[in-house]
Amino acid sequence: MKHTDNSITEPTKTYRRIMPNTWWLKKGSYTLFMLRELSSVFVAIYAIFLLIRLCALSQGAEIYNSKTAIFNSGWMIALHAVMWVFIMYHMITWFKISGRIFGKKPLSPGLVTIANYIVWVVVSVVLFLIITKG
Amino acid sequence: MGLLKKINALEPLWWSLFGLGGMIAAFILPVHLFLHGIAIPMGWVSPDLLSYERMMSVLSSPYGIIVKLFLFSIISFPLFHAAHRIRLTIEDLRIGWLNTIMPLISYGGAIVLSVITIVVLFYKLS
Amino acid sequence: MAEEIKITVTRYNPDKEAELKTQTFTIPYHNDWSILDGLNYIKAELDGTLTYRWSCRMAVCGSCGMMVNGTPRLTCSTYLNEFYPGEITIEPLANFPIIRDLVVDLTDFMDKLKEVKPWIIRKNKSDENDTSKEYIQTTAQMDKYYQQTLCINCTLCYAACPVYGLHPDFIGPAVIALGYRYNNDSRDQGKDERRKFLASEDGVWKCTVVGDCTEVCPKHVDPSAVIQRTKVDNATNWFFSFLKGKK
Ligand code: FES
Repeated sequence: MKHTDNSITEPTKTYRRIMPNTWWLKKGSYTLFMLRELSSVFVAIYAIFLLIRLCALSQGAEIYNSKTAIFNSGWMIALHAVMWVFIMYHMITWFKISGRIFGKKPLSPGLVTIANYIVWVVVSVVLFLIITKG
Repeated sequence: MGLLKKINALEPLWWSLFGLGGMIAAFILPVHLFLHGIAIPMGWVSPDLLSYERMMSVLSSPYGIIVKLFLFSIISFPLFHAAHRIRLTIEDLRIGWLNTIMPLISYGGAIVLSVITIVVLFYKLS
Repeated sequence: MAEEIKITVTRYNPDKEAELKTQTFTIPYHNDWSILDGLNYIKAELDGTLTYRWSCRMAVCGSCGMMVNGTPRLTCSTYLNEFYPGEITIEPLANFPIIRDLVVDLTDFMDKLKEVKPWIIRKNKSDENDTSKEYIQTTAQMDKYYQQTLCINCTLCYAACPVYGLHPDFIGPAVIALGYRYNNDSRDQGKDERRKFLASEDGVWKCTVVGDCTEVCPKHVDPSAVIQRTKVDNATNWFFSFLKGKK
């Protein structure tokens, strides 16, 4: 038998699987990805908090002090602790990816990631000193 | 629709801002949030660090401008970072109706908040 | 009593059924059998109608990719002993339409592959057929793209990529990696030509760096990294053309 018509190789009825909206719960790596994306929500909240503090500052001591009291309350500290965990997770994933992007030969991904952490430690210590002692 | 097309055409710009903000969030926010959100409110380090008087004196000192630029960059760029990520996540979660207007809401929001930050820092607090 | 292992496979016959079914086979367990050996046993001894693709049996041709317990793998280089005494579930590669049983339709991938022009492009078209010219390349120059030449078009990365599953128009990992491979070849001059495709709305910008493409790649092509590098390159190019007033 000779196949002169090559349309015979083309599938007529294929079955298409639809990804459920809960696709990111189906696999550990997808869930971790979603948590990483979620970290950006906390980044945004923190930036907005900083802006709120600055707005209060510009409105005088009384308003600023009442806002500060809210930021010093227990549930706000707890919220910040949660935000901190997510931002740390952002940092870890960010350094890992930046290692992959910039770790081309003769460098290696691991080397770039370690360099990121070293810079991070230096930046953190310097900022800590400036903010607390400066 | 034309506006949304224009926003999408600026993808390289949004991505670059996302990258810059992500870098700032990774390098600076952990220690910054730890101090301002946890350590100072808990009293582990001097609670006076964020007092009204000290803040105002820092901002009006000769270094004030540097502090202000620093504050701007840790507010504005992380907002663009979050805007981009949230927009793409909404796409991945297939929240259809939100999906189409998301670029407008997210980048627009980041722009508006950045402008407010500039006004507060360099106009109201000067 | 010989040892046995259970393999559950997806069945789909487009002429008879509208839905996917599964079928479980019990086959003899051999420590040195690959999953493909197991499937070949089923086809030879138990059910000759089971349909799947394979050819080289040595991780070169890239045709035997399937979902093995939910992860895209080359079945010829995945062994039963990794799962024994547990059971194995084999499904057709995720995110692609199914033609029959474990065979998927790769037309979409093939079309995109063509569009990225995975060959050396010269500005001067006559160069491409001129065999008298030599293009000397140093090892350092070759290092820039060598890793991406290893791609065998097995499309495991497409099956691992949720972005491709959600947005089938996304160009996808392997095709972008192959674009990168030619863009970074010192003999090639087709970067701008490929940019139209790679930096389009369905190109690199769609990637959200889930990173699973890199995890599943049997040849360590690292699509995830090169997609990000392509983003950096396109963003830089965009800013420069913006400064030059072209945008
Ligand atoms: S049969 Fe060729 S790659 Fe597995």
